[in-house]
Amino acid sequence: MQPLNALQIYKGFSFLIVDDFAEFRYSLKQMVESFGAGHVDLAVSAESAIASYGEHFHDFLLVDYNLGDGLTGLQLLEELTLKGLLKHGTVFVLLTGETTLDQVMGALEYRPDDYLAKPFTRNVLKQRLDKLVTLNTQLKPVYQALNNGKPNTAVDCCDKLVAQNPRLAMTCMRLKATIFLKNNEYRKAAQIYQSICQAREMNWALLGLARCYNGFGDATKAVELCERIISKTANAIDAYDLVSECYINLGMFEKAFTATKLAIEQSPNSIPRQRRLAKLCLRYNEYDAAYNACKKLQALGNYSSLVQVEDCVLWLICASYLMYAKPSSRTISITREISQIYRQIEKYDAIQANLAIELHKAYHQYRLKPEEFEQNQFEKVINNVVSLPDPLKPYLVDLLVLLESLLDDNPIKISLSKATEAAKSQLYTQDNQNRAIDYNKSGQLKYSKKEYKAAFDAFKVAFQNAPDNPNIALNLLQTSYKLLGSKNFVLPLELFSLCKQTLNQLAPSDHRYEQSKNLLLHIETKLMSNLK
Amino acid sequence: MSKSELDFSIVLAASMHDMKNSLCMLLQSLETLKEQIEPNEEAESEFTKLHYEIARVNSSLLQMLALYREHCNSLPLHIEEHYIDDLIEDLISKNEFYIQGKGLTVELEIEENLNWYLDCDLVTNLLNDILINALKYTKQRILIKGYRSDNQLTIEIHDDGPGYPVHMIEKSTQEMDSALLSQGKTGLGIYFAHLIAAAHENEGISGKIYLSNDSQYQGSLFTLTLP
Repeated sequence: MQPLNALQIYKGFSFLIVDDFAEFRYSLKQMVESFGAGHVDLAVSAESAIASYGEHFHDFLLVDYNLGDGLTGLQLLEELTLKGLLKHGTVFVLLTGETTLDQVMGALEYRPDDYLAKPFTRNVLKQRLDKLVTLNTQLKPVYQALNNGKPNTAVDCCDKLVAQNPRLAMTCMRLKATIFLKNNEYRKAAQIYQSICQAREMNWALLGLARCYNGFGDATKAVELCERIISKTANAIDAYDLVSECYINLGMFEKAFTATKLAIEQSPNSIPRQRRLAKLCLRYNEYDAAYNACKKLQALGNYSSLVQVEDCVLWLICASYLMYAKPSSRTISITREISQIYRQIEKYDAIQANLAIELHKAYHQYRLKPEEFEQNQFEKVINNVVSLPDPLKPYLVDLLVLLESLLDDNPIKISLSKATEAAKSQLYTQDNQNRAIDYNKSGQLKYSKKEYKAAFDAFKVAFQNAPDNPNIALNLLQTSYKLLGSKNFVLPLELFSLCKQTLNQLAPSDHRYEQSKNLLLHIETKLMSNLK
Repeated sequence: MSKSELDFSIVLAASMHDMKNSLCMLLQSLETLKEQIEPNEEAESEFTKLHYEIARVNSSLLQMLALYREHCNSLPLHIEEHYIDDLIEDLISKNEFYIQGKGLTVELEIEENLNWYLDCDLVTNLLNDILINALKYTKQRILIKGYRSDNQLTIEIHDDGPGYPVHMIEKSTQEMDSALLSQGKTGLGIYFAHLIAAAHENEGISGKIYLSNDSQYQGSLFTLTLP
């Protein structure tokens, strides 16, 4: 067979080159055109790259790590993944200097397909791309299956490929483990990660194993594995994030706080990380730091779509602490920023969030001119809150609790207390994390014995004690799904709604995201058909 | 800004970034120029020299950064599985310009499907520095061997040059530390190679480097073993 002409290989491929340095951008364009690339687009920033990729879905992305202001090349990869835009099989090559290589290698979750250290010649780039083309061609059936939403077919393809070409063993094992992890098949994923670690403990395999343990409900073991990664690689940012999540699951908030602060030191430009920091700062009354984290989160939101209405109300709560509870030299500047916070919240057009603004405005009026305070107006807002048909969102309850604590002995405090008490009783307590862990374990045991009703009861208690824990929410809904349709089983809508709130916090890149979306959809469908 | 406020690691990182960008542009301009002029022996020779010096500057920058990090105890190892033929092919293609320009022959004897767990960037930088040196001193031929022996990976670089000076071979067998470097008793490249090899540890065994004049081509022989 005649070998393909080198220029023909690239003719069918499209490239997106992302670099803020014009000369380098054009130089790279010339290079790939000389390889025969059929279509080449250029982008100067991560934001324009997202728009361009969303339109053309290029085969290759050649991205410089440093992209000036805004997101880095690595964060562009994270953003594309988080948005669920990045297709399986798209080749993402990061161009770095050695100074940024540590950040690239420290990121275990979002790794480019390849990275190339500057300076490189055209030949070096060509050779790398040739290898990536070969690898991608071999893995094409796996990527096709994944893009078509057929993970089991993808796993079968992996097995076939390894039988044909043993050099693909590690790549395929990694792909399989990721697929199992995304489907919450923790035992199958753990088996693969364990066998890899037996040959050599690689950080990404240890992290995968830690995720599996966290999925089993053994957060302690997950922390142990993450700490092993951190002892070897101090900048393994994903390990710090998982440690924080595990400590929160274990109810060890102080340790979670320490781990989050360490992660922020390494890499502050992450929305979920800043969100976690803000919440933990509030828990430990570090209002200034909480406010700063919220502000940073909003600034990151200028380049990302991952900021949620909850984040904006959290910002309002932090501002309220600094304006009213702990006034300081910053109070004046924060008061000036409050209308900006309102605007951010209003963008989401969410009923409960808008009520949060009304509550805040009413309280602010009271603080400014207590003598002109119109009790009726405040009462009216509280009544609107109380008469909401849906359970109150945790952020609204948090604001109610804060305002209640700020009010002096004022008749309005009584109305507010009533609203807060009612909401808190709906929301369940978060105090007893150990109870949550015990009941979650007991639920898992019952579930494995197919005693679904007993499992449901156990998971329900676990969730009542830890309503922020997505693993427990998933377990509870998984069991509910098994029970829906059986006699004498009713899934309380409030409980379902709370689980949904918790799971909606998961980012699209989270390995539990797809399962949670599927589960929510299936349960909603069943609930709807029951109503009919 | 007061002296104490200056974080040298940031200065170093920023300077490195700029210098690397410049080197990258320099390399690419060089390639474009080479294509645009009529081939002649003198120009080829000058291009080869320029290319060689760029590779040397880059190698020194890498070593400077790695040694600075080691000094600050922040030189993390990123161990992954790699196929040795891929790694060596990358190495050759980085220096292809110079190899062709000087009309040298580089032969490879790599065991089929030989894979190992190592930090690819650090080991590539180590081998690249040794290869650049071998390319400079060899007369005609270089041989790169890769094989598995006693549960360790061995990579050898043979050349047919004049061989290592005796004092370098003697020093390389001594316990290497930074004192040797500061006293000028060993080259930066060899010290760097020793450092990177030693950082690779597995089951209590560390990587090692050996210098000798036992090359198959009667020149110098550099050996790297990794557990």
